[in-house]
This record gives sequence, C-alpha cells and structure tokens, in this order.
Amino acid sequence: MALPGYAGNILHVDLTSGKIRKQSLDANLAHTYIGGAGINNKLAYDLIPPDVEPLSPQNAIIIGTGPFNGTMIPGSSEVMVTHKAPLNGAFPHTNGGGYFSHFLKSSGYDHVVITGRSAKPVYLKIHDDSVELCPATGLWGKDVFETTDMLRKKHEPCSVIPIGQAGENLVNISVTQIDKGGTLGSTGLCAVMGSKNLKAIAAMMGTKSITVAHPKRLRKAVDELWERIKEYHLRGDLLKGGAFAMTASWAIPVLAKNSSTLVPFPPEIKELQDEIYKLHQKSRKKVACITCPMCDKDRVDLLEKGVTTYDTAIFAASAIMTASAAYGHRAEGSPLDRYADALHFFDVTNRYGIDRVYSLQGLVDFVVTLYEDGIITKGDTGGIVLDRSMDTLLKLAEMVAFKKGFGDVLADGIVAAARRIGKGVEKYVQNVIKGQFLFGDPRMTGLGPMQFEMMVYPGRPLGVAAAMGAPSYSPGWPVKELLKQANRCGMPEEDIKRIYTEDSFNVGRMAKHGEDFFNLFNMFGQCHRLYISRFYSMDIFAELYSAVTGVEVTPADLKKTSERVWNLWKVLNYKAGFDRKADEPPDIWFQPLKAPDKEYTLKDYFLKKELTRQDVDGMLDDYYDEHGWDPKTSHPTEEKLKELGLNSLVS
Amino acid sequence: MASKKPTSQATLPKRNRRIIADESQCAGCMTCVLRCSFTKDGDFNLSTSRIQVKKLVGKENEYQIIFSKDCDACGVCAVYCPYDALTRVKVEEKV
Repeated sequence: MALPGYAGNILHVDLTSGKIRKQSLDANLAHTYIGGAGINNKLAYDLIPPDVEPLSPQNAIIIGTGPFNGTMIPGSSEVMVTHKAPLNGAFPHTNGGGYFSHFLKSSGYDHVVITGRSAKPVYLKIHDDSVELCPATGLWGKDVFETTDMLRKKHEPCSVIPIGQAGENLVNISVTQIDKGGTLGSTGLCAVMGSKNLKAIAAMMGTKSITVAHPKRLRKAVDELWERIKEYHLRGDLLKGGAFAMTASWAIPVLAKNSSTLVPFPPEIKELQDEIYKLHQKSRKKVACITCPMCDKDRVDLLEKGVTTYDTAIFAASAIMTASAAYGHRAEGSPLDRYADALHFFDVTNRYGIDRVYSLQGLVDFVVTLYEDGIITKGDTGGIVLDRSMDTLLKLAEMVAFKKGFGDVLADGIVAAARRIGKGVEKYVQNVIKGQFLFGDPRMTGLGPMQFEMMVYPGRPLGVAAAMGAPSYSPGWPVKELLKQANRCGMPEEDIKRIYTEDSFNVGRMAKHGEDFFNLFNMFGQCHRLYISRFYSMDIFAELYSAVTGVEVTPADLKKTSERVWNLWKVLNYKAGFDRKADEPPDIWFQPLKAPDKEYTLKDYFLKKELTRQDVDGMLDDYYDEHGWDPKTSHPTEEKLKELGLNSLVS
Repeated sequence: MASKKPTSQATLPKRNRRIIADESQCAGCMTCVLRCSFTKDGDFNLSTSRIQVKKLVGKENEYQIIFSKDCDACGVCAVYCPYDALTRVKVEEKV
C-alpha cells in the first residue's frame, strides 16, 4: 500500500544499458523532503556530481511529482524536472503543467531518474508496469508539436514531454512544451535530453489509484477553495482571454531601441495592443492543464490569416510585437497583420523548441545592436544583414535551431555568444544574470522582490515573485498590501515587525520568506501562476498536506521543511559554482538608462530612493543573514544546516 | 459565468436525472474525472472514474465526454465543472 498522496515508487532508467528498475519510495524521504522539488533535490544531490558536464551521460534528468499531483486540488498540475543545466551550469527548478504529473502517478511512479546515453534515438514510454525504451524511428527530426501528435496518435491517452530540433542539436537556449501547453526547461533541459538521444517521454494514463489519508478533510478544504475561486472577480476575464487578459493591461511604458537606449512609447501602441487583444479573444480556444479552473493556456485559430498555434504566453504577443527591442520600435502595420506575425513567430520557435522569451529575443537585440554599431558585419554573420524585422527573427531562429552558420554562435546563450564574437562586446551584454536575460529593467521598475529574486535565483525566478503576489510585479504598492502577502506566506509576527516599517520593508529579508512559501508550490506540484497561486496560503497548505498525507503539520512545520529543501538546493548550486559572486548585480544597473528627455537610475521598490552598489550589497548581506548563510560566501552556515537536520551536508 | 451552488449529493434522487455534456465548453481540466473517482471510490483513479474525458486525436483541444454504465448521474461532475460543460437535468426536461 503506497503512502497516502504518493504513488509509491521511483523509476530508474539507464539509457546506456537499457536497464529499468523500480524502487519503493521511502516514507522517511518523502516526509523529510516532500515531493517534486524536495525529493528531486535530494536525488540530484546524491546522484549528480556538481561539476558534471551537463551534456554528458553522467548528468541525470530527474522528474518529480508532489503529494498534491493526482488529486483534485485546483492547480495541482505541475511536474518538476531537475538536472544540471547546460545554459548556466546551475541546478534550476524547472516545472511545467499539462497532464504529465497526474498520468505519471496513475502508472505508479512519483519520480523518474534518467541517466546515461542511448546509442540510438529512443523515447521512454511509461504505462503501469510496462516501461519501455522505444525506437524514435520517424520521430527524430520532428518538431515539438509533430512529436506530440505522433506519440498521442500511438499512445493516447498520454502526456508527452518532447524535444524539437533545437534540443536534438544540443542548443542550450532550448525549451519545450508538455502537451502543447506547459512550458518546461528553459535553461536547456531539451539539450540534455538531446545529448542522451532521448526524443520524448510519454506517460500514458495508468490504472493505479492515489489514496488520501483524510478524504472528508480534503473535500472540505478543496470545496472552500473552489467557492473562492469561482467568485474571483477577474475569473470571467481569464476565461475569455487567458493569460493575455491578465497582462494586456500591463502598461509596458517604453520601447527600447536596444538594451541601453530608451525610446518613448508611442501613444498609438496602446490602441494597437487593445485591438490585438480583441482579435485574441475572438480566436482563442481555452485550454486547461489538469485540475486548473483558470484555463490560461491557448490554442489560437486566426482564421483570417490561416494561422493556428498553441502557447502558454500568447499574452506576450502585444508586448513582443509592439515593444520588443528585437522587433524594433514601430507602430505601423494593422493589428491583424501584427498579431498574425506574432503568432507565426511563436509557432516557429515553439516548434523548434527555442526559448524566445528569456534568450532568443534578447540575443537578437544584442547582435542587431552590434551590427548597427558596426562591431560585426556581414563577414561575421555569413552574409546576412541583421535588422529589427520579422525576417531577421525568423531567419535567426532557424539558424539557431539547427546551429547553422551564425546561429551556432547564438545557440549557447548570451554569455557564450559574447565570448565567441570577441571584439570586446562584453559591454553590450546587459541585464543578464546567471546567463539569463532579466524580465524587465530594474532601473525602470525599481528593485523590488521580483528583481531581487532575479539576482539570487539560478533558474527562472518569476515563480518566487508570483508567490509574493501582485505587489511583486509592479513597484510602489503600499506596505499594507505587502503585509497581506507576508501573512499569507506564514511569516511569523516577530519577523514581520523586524522586516516591515510603516512605509517600507527590507527586500533582502522579505525575499527569504517568499522563498519559504514559494518553494512549497514546487514541492507539492502546484502551479505558481499568479491567478491560481493567489488562493493558497501557508495555513491552507498545512491543512491540505495533512489531509492528503496524514502527516499532521502546522504552517511553521511546513515553513521549516521548505527551508530544509531550499538549503539543500542552495548547497547543490553552491557546489556548482553559484556563490556570492554569482548573485551580484550587473554593472549596468548602476549606469543611467538614457531616454531622450530623462535618465532612469536604479531606485528602490517605491521609486523614491536612489540605490548604490553598496545598498544592493547590503540587501544581499541581509538576505544571507536572514537565511543563516555566510555573507562572504553565501554558503549555509554549519549551524543552519544542523538546525535543519542537514548534518550530512556539513563539510 | 453562472455560479453553481454545491449540492449535497446524497439527498438527490437519481433515477430521473441525467448529465448533459456540452463538449464545446470543455477545457480538458478533468476535474470531473477526479471528483467522480473521489466521490464514488474514495481515492483518485483516472481510469475507473464513471466519467471519462477523451482528447480527440487529430482534433486539437476537442474532447469527447463519455459516461460509463456505472454512472448514476449523481451530478458531482456537473457541480464542480469549472467551465459549465456539464449540466444535471431531469430526464423529462427538453434539452
């Protein structure tokens, strides 16, 4: 009989030998570390050498689910994948939705550990006790959507994690989508799969049950959640417009000509965005991950232009097509043409499996700027003229996916690209931390919780911000709103008094408590998107976890377990080279961002106080101190590790 | 979005009720499948649920909703469907 909330097994797959074995999930492991992020981190710590070459057979792909996956808890769709990432050498938290987490557990597995390298391309098929490495004949060379379709046709009902051509060609800025919807692996998971000759993982719907310890308690807690969810005042907008509905109103106030020069936002852009949003609503079919009552994902059929695609981030269409530096500063073109262009670009990159949001667009802006400034010429690009046009975007996307010509220079990300181009172009590498482009520029947004997390978090940090609620995304919310988030995150009263004043707060110290809460989403298998994570609190998590697993916990217990997992993760990343130096802000933050009529300088969350490097260093000191980490190195102190029961990590 | 009040399932007469599915409204979240399994069996089993949501291969994001012979039209699926794709009606009602 499996543990309540768990399927009960870890599946080990060695691609080199073809051996597959099942290991019972140890109850102590499950309760000490909990679920996706928790057990994944423990397995990664035990199984992956921190200095391993990411594209070598010794790297492992560890797939993990949590105790909420497989149940009816709303938003319990996320599967967590841990590996050493080729883009920046970190062990990121990478997760995605779709059906995979539930289907995997329905076959009886909580985790899958994939090691080695297959001699020939294969895909892994999981269906109850039938686990097979199947020849990827006919699949290799196919794109993300084609691969999904072909495997669904063969194995439906099933959930698919495929790779596209970018993953096959070991492109580090690759990404994929689970079931044509759940983005996964933006720091190069697909290249790791490609290096292992693993084209896809198909989890078929199995026949196993997930039991829960206290069904009545679970029913009550979920019913209460559902009552709140269906009354959410923005839910109607979400159902009509998906994620776009939540973000269409994000006033992206400026256009960047390139990463360092600001160009004012033309007033007609807002009108264009509104028109594009109308088209989006008309063309959208709502798509939900399993258990999601918000259906923020899209399939879009733009009949007027004969364009169909799928995306988790169609909402970015207006931003990309009106405000992207890569696409250039322009307002011409009909909304229909602009939207069709955006969808086509999304479709192409999604099919190849290229991370356009956090890598490709920034890279294109980078090289076009170099070209405009005469640093690189046609001689460097293989005869290609680089400009801010859709043609350049599409051309470079294809060249990156297949590592053709100049595309090979870009395929490993911004840091590697700058190194290969040489000519002293490092100074053009701006707003990049840990090998990834930042989401927004803190000189315009202020340095709040989200921007701080971008400094210290080795993966994509937006989830942390989501856990801290809407105030993380926009500067200047009043402290009383931030306090609501602090209470939701289970921050003890004495800590609140220490960290918040009437009109301000300590960003570094607050960030630690946001992480304690956010990490639980990754451990339980919960979606952290803002409009579903907003319904959860530390109290609700404690009740749900107790009801599902039968392990009675208080909010303080959960906070402590989350801290244990976060510290284990920190040590893992520290060993991979992510020390204090890696957390430091880029120099560009301390130089003005120039606009024709003014200059933007780094300020605090309330956009009032100018921040110097010393100020930001102080934030880091506070963050480490709040964690119980050594401020000189960022490594957890011996006392902290012992306090968390991580004695074996004390060196 | 019409709001549906959760209803005690045990008190509802079953013989003259049935569930009508409007598959065009389905977003594929499978909440109905999980709720059904949990209500009838006390655990979560996607394959033994009385209601099945099948993704149609070749027809993107379109679904077929199938009720097994064991379905007693208790209505729990309809109560918790987030997208109003399921409705519990009296048999004599014209749909």
